[in-house]
Amino acid sequence: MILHDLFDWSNSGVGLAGLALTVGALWQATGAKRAATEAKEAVYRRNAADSFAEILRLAEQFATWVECERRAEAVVQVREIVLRMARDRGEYDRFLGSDADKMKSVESSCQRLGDSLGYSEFPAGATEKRELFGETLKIVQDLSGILGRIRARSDQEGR
Amino acid sequence: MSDKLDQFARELLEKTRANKLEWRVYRNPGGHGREEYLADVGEGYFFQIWRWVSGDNRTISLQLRAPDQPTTIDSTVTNWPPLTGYVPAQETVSRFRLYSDLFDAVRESVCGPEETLGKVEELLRKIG
Repeated sequence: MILHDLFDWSNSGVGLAGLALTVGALWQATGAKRAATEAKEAVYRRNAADSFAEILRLAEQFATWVECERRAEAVVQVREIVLRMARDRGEYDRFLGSDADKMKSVESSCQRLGDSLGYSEFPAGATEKRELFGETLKIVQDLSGILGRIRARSDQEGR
Repeated sequence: MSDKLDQFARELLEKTRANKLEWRVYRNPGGHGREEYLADVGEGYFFQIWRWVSGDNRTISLQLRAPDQPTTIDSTVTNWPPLTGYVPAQETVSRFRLYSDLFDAVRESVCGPEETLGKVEELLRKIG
């Protein structure tokens, strides 16, 4: 009788230990999954920041071509910016947060400038030129601001 | 020498914008695409600025003519500068901008702003 009770107790003990081990393994697996997801997100954030840094570099080159009054090169550059922005906005939309609308507005400014430079001569008047330089600079400024905020968010979330 | 003319270009730009210098047309752009203006700064010294345009290519030159001297001192910039990597070097871009801004200011001081020319063009079209 005593022996039978002892078996019962030891069986329960083994069962409990097994359960504890299973819970522990599950907890570890959940933690590992979370870590893997976080690592994947960090890589995506990094890729998003790199892509927008590339767009900013293209925008700076575009501004230089405009300052040099090189219409053909400026048009090629601004069209590349528009295409890259559309692609990267689609891919990294969730990292843009409140900047998504700003990005759309910069994209449409680039599109408009690309169209106007593509279908007419480089402006000849000083006032028109000043307006064009102002718009170009604004595009670079906006993109620079967006990139800064993406990097800041990435740093915050990485901590 | 071109450093000195760059410095003059800055001063000329300032004075032209402030309407302190009187420029006049020296040569209108004909088939050759060269447009030229001249300013008398006194005592026989003249500044001459010309711009040659062909498609996207632009050459702008500022020249100083001294009295009784057959040669001129000049400084020329183009907008097809040597490339550093892919884009033009910043220094070259800055010089081109300075000369282009000066040329635009001179042109505007002689012919009026581009809007005026646009308005006249519109009026002429109305006449038929």
